[in-house]
Amino acid sequence: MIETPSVDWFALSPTLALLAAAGVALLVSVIGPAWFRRAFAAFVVFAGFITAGVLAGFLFARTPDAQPLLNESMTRDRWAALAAIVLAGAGALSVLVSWGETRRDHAGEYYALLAAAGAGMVFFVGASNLMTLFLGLEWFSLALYILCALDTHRETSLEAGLKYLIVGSFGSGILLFGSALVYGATGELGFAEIAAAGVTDDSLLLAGLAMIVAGLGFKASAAPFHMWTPDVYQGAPTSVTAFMSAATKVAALVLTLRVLTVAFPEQEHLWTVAVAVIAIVSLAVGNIAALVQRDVKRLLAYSSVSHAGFMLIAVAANSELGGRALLYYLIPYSAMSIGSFAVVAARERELGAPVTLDNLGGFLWERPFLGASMWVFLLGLMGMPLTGGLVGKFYVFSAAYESGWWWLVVAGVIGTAISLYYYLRVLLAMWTRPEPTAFRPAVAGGSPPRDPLLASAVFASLAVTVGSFIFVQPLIDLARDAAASLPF
Amino acid sequence: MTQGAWICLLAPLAGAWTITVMGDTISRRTAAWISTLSVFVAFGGALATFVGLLRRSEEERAALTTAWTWLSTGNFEVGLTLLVDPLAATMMLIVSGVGGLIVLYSVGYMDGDDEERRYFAYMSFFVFSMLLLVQAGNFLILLVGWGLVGLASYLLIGFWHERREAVAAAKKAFIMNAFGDATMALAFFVLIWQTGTLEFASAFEGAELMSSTALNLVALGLLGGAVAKSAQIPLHTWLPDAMEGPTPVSALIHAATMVTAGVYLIVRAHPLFELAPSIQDLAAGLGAITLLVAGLVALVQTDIKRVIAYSTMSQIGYMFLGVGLGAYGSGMFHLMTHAFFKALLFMAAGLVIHHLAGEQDIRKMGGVRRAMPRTYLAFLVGSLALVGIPPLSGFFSKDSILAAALASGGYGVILFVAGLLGALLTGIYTFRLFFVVFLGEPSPLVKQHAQGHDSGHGSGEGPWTMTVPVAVLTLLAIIGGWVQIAGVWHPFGDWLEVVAEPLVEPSVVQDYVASAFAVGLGLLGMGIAWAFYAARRRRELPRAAAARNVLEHKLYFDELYDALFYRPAVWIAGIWRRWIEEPLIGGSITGLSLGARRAGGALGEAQSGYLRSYALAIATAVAVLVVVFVAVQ
Amino acid sequence: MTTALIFLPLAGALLVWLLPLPGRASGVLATLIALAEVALFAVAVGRFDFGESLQLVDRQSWFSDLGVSYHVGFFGFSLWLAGLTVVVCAAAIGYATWANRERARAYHGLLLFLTGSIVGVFAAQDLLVFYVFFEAMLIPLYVLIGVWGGERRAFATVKFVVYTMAGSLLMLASIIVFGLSQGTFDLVDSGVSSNDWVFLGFLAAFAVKAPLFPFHGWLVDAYRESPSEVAAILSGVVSKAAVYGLFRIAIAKFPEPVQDFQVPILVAATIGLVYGSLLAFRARDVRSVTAYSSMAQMGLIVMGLFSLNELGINGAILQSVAHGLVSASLFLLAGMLETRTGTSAFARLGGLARGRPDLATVLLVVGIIALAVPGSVSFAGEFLILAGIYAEGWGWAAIGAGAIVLAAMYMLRLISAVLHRSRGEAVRDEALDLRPAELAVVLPLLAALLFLSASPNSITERNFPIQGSDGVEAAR
Repeated sequence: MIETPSVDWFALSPTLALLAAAGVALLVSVIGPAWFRRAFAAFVVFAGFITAGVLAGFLFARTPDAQPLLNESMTRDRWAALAAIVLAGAGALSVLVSWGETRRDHAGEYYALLAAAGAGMVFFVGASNLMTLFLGLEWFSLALYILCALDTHRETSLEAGLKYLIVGSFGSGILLFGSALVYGATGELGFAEIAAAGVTDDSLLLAGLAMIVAGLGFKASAAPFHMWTPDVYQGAPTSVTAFMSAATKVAALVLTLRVLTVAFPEQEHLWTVAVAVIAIVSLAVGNIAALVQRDVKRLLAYSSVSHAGFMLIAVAANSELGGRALLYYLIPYSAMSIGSFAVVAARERELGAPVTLDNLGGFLWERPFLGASMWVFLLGLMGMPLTGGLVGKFYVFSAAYESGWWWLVVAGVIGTAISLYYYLRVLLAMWTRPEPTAFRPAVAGGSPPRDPLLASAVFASLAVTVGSFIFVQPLIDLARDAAASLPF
Repeated sequence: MTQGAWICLLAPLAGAWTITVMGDTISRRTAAWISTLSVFVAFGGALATFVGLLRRSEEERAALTTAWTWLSTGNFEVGLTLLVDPLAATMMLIVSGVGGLIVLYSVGYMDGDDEERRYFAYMSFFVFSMLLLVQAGNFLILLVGWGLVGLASYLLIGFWHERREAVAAAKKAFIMNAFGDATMALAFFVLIWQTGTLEFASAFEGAELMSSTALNLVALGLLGGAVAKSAQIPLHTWLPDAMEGPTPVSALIHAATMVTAGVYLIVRAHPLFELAPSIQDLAAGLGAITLLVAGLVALVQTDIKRVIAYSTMSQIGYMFLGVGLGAYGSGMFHLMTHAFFKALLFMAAGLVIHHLAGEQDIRKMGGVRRAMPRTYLAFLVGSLALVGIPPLSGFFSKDSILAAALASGGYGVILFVAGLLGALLTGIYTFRLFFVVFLGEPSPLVKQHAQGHDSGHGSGEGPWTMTVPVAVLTLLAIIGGWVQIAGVWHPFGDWLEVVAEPLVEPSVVQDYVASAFAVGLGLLGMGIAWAFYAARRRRELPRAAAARNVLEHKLYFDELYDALFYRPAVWIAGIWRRWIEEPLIGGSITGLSLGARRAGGALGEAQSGYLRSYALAIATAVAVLVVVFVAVQ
Repeated sequence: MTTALIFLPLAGALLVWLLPLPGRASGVLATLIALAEVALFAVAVGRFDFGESLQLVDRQSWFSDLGVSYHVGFFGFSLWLAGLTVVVCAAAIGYATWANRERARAYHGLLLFLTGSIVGVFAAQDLLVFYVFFEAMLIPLYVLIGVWGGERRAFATVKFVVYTMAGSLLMLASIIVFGLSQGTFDLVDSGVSSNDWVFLGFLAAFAVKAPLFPFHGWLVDAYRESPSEVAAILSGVVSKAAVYGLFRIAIAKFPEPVQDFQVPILVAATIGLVYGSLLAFRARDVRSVTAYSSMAQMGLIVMGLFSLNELGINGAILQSVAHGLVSASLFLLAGMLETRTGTSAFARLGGLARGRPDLATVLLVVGIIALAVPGSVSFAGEFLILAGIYAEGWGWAAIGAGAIVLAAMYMLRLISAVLHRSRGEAVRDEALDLRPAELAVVLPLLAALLFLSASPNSITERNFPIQGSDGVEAAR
């Protein structure tokens, strides 16, 4: 007779809410009448994300200090809660973005999977032992694999899904193997226990640590583990890309910082350097590779690689300020990322073709609102004023400097300088009207009807991007409380 | 009294402003008269000031009046200040008086030129600037006036701006004077840091305590400005070219007033120069050299105005000689008389040019006397005054300078000899010009203009607006010198003494010795000229072709400066653009971005799309990480 | 008050963007807003007590954990720079309205946005706020050059972006280091630092913006390709952000590094002065001459600042205002020439004075003030600067004086090449004299120049509260 651990359902409620939404949506998309599926699934999932967010908010408010869950396999703390809020927000926005995507089949399943992925991530960020970590990782990864491949009629979509699946499993494998090594070295799975085991210079442990870093870096699409990112981001349905670019990074980075600080404080001198190096490589690779891209989705994919680099700088700082910086940065970053992909999606839908720098011409004049918003998002990614991007970079650099990583600051600065070049190409492309000879939009029946949901999603992202610049203090207070629950 | 000074200063400015703002809402004639009026009002102001000063006792014949603080920072402060004293008053009278006559003359001379308004605005502006220069109450304002007259001169030399030569000459004049301004500015910096002020009085006091090096620098800087403005060697080459401007401009700016500003400056700043004697001697020496060289060059010039221009240089050389030796009164005296007779010569020449429809080459002239008897007389008077034949004005002034040179002995005697040689040259070139132009048989050109031209403007010698000023100046050229007769009376010297105590007081004997020599040599020169140009109608000096060649190239000064400054500047600029600006500055960034894009391309290659390559990359990365971690431990 | 001065144009920009007005109307609206801004500035001057130091302060905590706050206010000298900004920008916007640029709403909105951010730069009293406005200022410039520029606009923009952003980002790094080590990012609260690297970081940004030799690679292309009124703002006003930064941050906060690097900086400035003057002397069109000459002028201004004495610094501020007005006017005139002749190349111009008295007079007066004829405000500025630098060694002053002769050479060359000599092939009879609208744009700038020439003291005696101090203490 196995005694079951006491379960703090409230702590799991966000996950459960999303799971429930996923279940209902799935059910309806099987049994419900065809015309009914899409709308209902979308609504349910949207509601699910909102609920999850709200619940996470309560969780944040009600959890002044961390508590273990389910035999220390999970943690209930503000760190996870805040991450959950961001994830939920990202999910909700992605639902709005997805609505306009007219899909022959699997309309219902799509939303179900979205919710499932969200649930997995919310679960993942709460993980506090290597088992739950891996569980959560696989959970949302599987959902994402399918989402990428969902547009079966689009070859690129299938290819993207397959690539992601294979390379992704490879990454997961590395992570799993690393965990095994760590377990072998310490005989523990729980993060805290691993630290407590007091094994410091055992090569097994170190190898395991290395692999865990690699595995998580893979999910955060940090170079040199980023190879899948451009292909998958480009191939996947744009709304999925939007979700991945924001949510996956949030989940992966938040947990990376947790694992490293909680489980491997003794090896700090190793992993901080490692993370710092990975950050620099990501900055270099992401920015330089983006210079030559003409496909906007691919370009943004590389830009997301470089941003992984920025956020890893905050991780490398390994300080309370670093944690604050990371959480703050994630908020405007998610908004800008989803927002920009949403705009790309809109353009894609009205062109019926992949968006490139060329056919983006004159977009600002045809769709002033979307164009202007795209401007703000890209300026934010540049780290320009009037967007949270600037404050985020400011915090990240401050954290790095405070921890003595002045050369990380320099690297970040150089990376930013390079990034301007390609962002600017997109910006100017939207201004310049296409030549008369150039590509004409309006495939069959001209531009599609306005998409108020997508517009509202863009607007929300816009609000977050600019708002996070003006109201830094409240966000920073949240981040501080959250970061307080990690042991620095 | 100070009100008079302000009126004197501002009336011409008001005139210029009115003409500019009214634009073509007023007729050309009106513009001309506005300008003339404004200058005569200025003359009135000057007279009022003069009378005001006379009323006062000698000690308090100096008044400062400040409108507002022009520039100030910290303890350094400079006001827009006027100084009214005998020196200033004298200059004011000369500038506004002669200026008024010349502007009046221009009314007739410029009649019909389609940009008359601009011309008269410029003229009024020039008079304003010149008055600002001579009334300035501190060095900075003086420099302002100094620069503005240069500007006015630029504008007026280049007045006929379709003419390439005119534009070039204008630029040359401005730039050479800008150089002078720069050296003056540097001198002022020394003053500021050594004495903390640019007020005349306090600067002079402070100067007492300065090191001799500093003093020499200051004096040198001022001298640089003076030499540039007064077209003394080595900064003289702009003046002959300046003759591209309309003739009244040459009369006003390049004979009567602006070019003599250097002399004024030395007198004004004489305490500084006296503290740096070597520099003062240098000034005198430069004057001597200039008066000889200019005299020589004048011998071979064939353009009527250029001959007079060179004679101006040489006469200013006399003035420098005088003030350089500390004979301030004599220098100023010669400045005044020279203003009269040189303006007269230019305007008479102007009448001839006007009569011959713009022809300036004396080789095409001859026998003008028949057509223009009165002009002939005026020119004769001017020439005699220039050569220094008693009882005409030039005689008294020039000889007092020579006497001073003689009196100061040693170095002075050398200069005295130079001055005498100059007198000889003056005689030759002046009357060469006179004979060639006025005597002998009328040349074809003159004949052709003699008929039918008389209907042109009133008499064949020009309208009354032109002839009246000439007449007045003729009178002045005759009697102008009588205010100072050696051994008899010297009110002019006493008048200026309160400002600048002369360093040398020639005895009556020296005076008469000098006069005797000077007049004698002058007459000799006239005789030579007669022998070559009147008696035997020979147009050229005999033999010495090489020497003539050198002289006609004005001793190659232009070529020298061209090689020394202009070409190097162009060359360096070219080098810099070719080897720095375009490849390095311009290219660097291009190369940088190109390199970045190449790198991006390379990374794109790596992104092959093949899973195996991805897996391989990731695997290697992991392996490296692991190895490093384990190894480091 | 200050906040209003900053945000009136920004709000105006939003208004212009959002209101669906036709081109001209939006331009007129923008012009009105710009004029309102000028009026507001006048009010600010009225309220300003030039006997005091920092005034019209608005302060609001932004995020406390790093000690960043929205903190703006004016010193005497920065108020003048702001005044220069509003006046020049008003003229530029007015000209843009008259020139009737395409996509007017976006264009005028951007110009207003630019105005607001530049004023913000001059008002910033917190390093992050300074950085924010410093960057915000560049965004509209990128677009204005990149979208409305000439044929090679893309190239010019990229160059401009890369140069300026490289500088700004180094500055961001320096700001972070400085702020964290000071415990606050506030310019008033923070003390001085002696860290050479941080100083150099700031210097980089300002050296590019000024630009100082050899960081001027972006200069000519940007000035040549951008619309004339944008070039006017760029050379007239934006470059002065460097002056403010150099004085308010570099000199005020880094006394020791300033001493250490004084000579190298002076060398760079002097080279820039001579280099710019000589290239201006050989340049082949109006814009290039103006571009290089303003590079030279900035070199001179930096010389004045780094003479580190009251004469030089005061002169530098005066010269900043003077040069701002002059080069703005010159670029606007260049634009007017181009609208008439389609070119600003000397080879194809000439003889424009004949029959075009207004154009001739305006260009002549501006040009003469530009070459610092004694009595002009620029002369007053240069005189003070050189008098100041003389204290650091007569050599600097001598070179500076020589460069002023060069200035005479290139400006006279420009004047006569455009106005004088025989008429150029590009000059046709249809090329009319200045229109009333154009005069309305240029004459105010000209009037300001003439007024300041009559009394430069109206600025110099109001730059710094404590006469006799070099103002550095005041800024600290």
